[in-house]
Amino acid sequence: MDYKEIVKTYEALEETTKRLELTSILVDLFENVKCDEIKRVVYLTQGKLGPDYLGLEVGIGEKLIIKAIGESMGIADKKVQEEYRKLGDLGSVAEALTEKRAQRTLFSQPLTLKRVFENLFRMAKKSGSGAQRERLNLLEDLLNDCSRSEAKYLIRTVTGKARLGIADMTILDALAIAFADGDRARVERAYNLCSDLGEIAEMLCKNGKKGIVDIKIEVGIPIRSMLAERLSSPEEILEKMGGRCAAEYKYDGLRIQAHIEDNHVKLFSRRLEDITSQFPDVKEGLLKSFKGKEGVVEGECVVVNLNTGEMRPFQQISHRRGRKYELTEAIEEYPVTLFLFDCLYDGEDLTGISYQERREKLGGIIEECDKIKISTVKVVDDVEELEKFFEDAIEAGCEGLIAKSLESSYKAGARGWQWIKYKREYRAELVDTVDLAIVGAFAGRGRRKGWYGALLMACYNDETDVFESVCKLGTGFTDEVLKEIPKKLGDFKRDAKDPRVESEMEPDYWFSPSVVLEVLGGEITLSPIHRAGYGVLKKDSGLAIRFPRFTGRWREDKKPEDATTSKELIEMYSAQLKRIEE
Amino acid sequence: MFRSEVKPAVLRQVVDTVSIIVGEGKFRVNQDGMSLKSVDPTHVAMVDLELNRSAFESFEADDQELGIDIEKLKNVLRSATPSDVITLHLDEESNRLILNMGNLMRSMSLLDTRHMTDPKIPDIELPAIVVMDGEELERGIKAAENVSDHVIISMDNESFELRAEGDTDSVDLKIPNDLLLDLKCDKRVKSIFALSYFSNMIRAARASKVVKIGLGVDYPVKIEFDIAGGKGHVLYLLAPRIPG
Repeated sequence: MDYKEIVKTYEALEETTKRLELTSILVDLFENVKCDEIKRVVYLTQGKLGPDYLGLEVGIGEKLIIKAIGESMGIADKKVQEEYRKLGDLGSVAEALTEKRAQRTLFSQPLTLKRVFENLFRMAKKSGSGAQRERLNLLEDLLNDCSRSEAKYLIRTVTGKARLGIADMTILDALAIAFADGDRARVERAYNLCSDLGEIAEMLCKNGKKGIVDIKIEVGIPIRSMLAERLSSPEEILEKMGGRCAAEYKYDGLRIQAHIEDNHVKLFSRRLEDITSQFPDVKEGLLKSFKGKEGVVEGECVVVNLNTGEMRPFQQISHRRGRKYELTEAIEEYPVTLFLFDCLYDGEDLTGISYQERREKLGGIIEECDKIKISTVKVVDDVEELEKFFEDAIEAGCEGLIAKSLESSYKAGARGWQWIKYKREYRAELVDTVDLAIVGAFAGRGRRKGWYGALLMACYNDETDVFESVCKLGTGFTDEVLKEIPKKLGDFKRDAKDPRVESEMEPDYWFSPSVVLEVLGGEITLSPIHRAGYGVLKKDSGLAIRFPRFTGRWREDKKPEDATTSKELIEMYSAQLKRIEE
Repeated sequence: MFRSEVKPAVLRQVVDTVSIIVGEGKFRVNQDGMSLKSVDPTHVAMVDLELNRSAFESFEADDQELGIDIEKLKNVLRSATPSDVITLHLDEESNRLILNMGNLMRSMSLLDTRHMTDPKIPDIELPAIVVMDGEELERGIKAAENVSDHVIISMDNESFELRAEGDTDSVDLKIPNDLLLDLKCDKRVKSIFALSYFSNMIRAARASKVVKIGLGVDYPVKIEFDIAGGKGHVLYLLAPRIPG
């Protein structure tokens, strides 16, 4: 097949935005392609060289593309750049300059689809010194034999801006019509399980509908993730769920689908990119925790404070993404825990069985360790319970809850009402530091074993003369501070709660309010556990500080009664309450 | 089987003439000697090299192809002294080329030649032919490089001319018939070439002093010269630029 055939199709596709027309153009294309070429056709139409999980990228930047255009056409880079400024798109630049081509070649070869694809593929595979020059050569080899329109689409493919407006779903539509008697559901199911449109197209082309019957989950090949709808009130959620559902903590991190087979682990992002190399610690953890022979599990990866188990804010996970250097440092500085919430495969395809059964399977093949945990979940059937669990989740550092229908199967690649996100619409950022009194302490774990791992902090209610708990503080302590704390608190230790302290939380040690610390928090949130301003803003809820961190300042100048008051916290909360922009 | 002995200077000429066209070369060896035909990745330039077995101190070869990384070979040659005789042989078991010079042994793995195409040399009839001293031409090239990235070559029955025109400056080298070794030209011809290739080709020709150039109107140029004291021959083809 000549490249110009597919370019003709691209031109036709660009003429329309109507999905039906797009589909019928694609159907024409697919019906006229030989089965051994359809893979390449599909990938190029997607603007790719293969399924996402292979991570194939042509790997050539704008500068080099300009150079390739200049060299192949015998036009100075400066002129190419000038044209780029004028047209704003390198594809159009290549198109325009093809006519002004000065440099001739000794001979030309037909520009076949195979040749284009193979050159691009080889560009993606090049690495090491000299790779850039080789990529240039491969691109120039193609450009030499390009017509105007071929040059335009070739360069757009290379820049990753194919801009055809063809979604995977449209390609699925066309494949179903061309090869599967319009059985769209079956084609989509195959796609969701193997996420490689090229592969599916080839199977369909060769054997029609029969070709994809045997598509099964394969360990190592990502499954398209099930997605959730969103609602903003617990009443609506319970109504949609028929009055009863599972509510899971919605961890605020990076969704990971883990494939495990013997000693091999592969981790995929939600976009199905292979991210195994960025999370060797998660891989290790899975090898330790996974008790089955092979399996596919899904979870959310969150940065945690290993000493206290506290979750850290979402932004911190970004320090672990896309790293090639200093990975060891990043792993140490931003340790993560993977909170697993689903199990899709354990040797058998589990996507067809109910949520409840899958959770049971998950519990059966995972033994929790510090890197791998199973997500917190609760079956709820009443609004108040759901609301309270939601506040728990927020305070724990989560984004909210995901309500899941107990009977639902895993609908790969689909967004539906079987899963419903319940996130906050408002948040109250904490812009100032607050001064809080120590009223309790928790025994340390991990590196903090033998010390206090975290402190229970309280604000002061000056109307009732009571210290009300507001957060558990475990971050911001240096080793020196950790050693100093017991000394400073020694005299104030008590066997039981001080009568002037209000706390639902039970720490391992109690203290009379005396020592005051300066604390920086991420935000203030409603809490079913903490007692600050209890019942003022909402029945059965107090205020808590999320993501608290010790600034390092001991407020020795302050008596506990000088600590930030509950009233001040309520004011801060109300003043800072802002709608969360998605 | 491939085993030969060769003076570094001869091998260096081979490397210098080939490396301006390709980074990886597919050399054919047989009982007559060594040859290579390669086209550059952009199909603008081509080299056709032949080296007779008599250019080697000794030479034995079965008919076969050797895929050689030219840059590597260039590096190996840096450690050779002029008085050395380099022994080259193919270790078929490991598919490596073994080079010995004095006490130094260097082995390099051979490249897979399956991806390297065999270009057909296009059949080109050129109306004008000039034979001249390569050094004089190189002088003109050097000057031209300062003002432009391309060069205009023209001939008529009286002279050979090289011109380069920049935005503000120009260079002109005109050699009359009586200073040329030979000139066959019935009508005036003129073509334009990218200096990046043309100058490298002329530089590669320097060692032989005598260069033969075939020219047409907006047509590829043919540059020919001998290497290894007449025991080898190089032909370059370079496609023209035609301003759009």
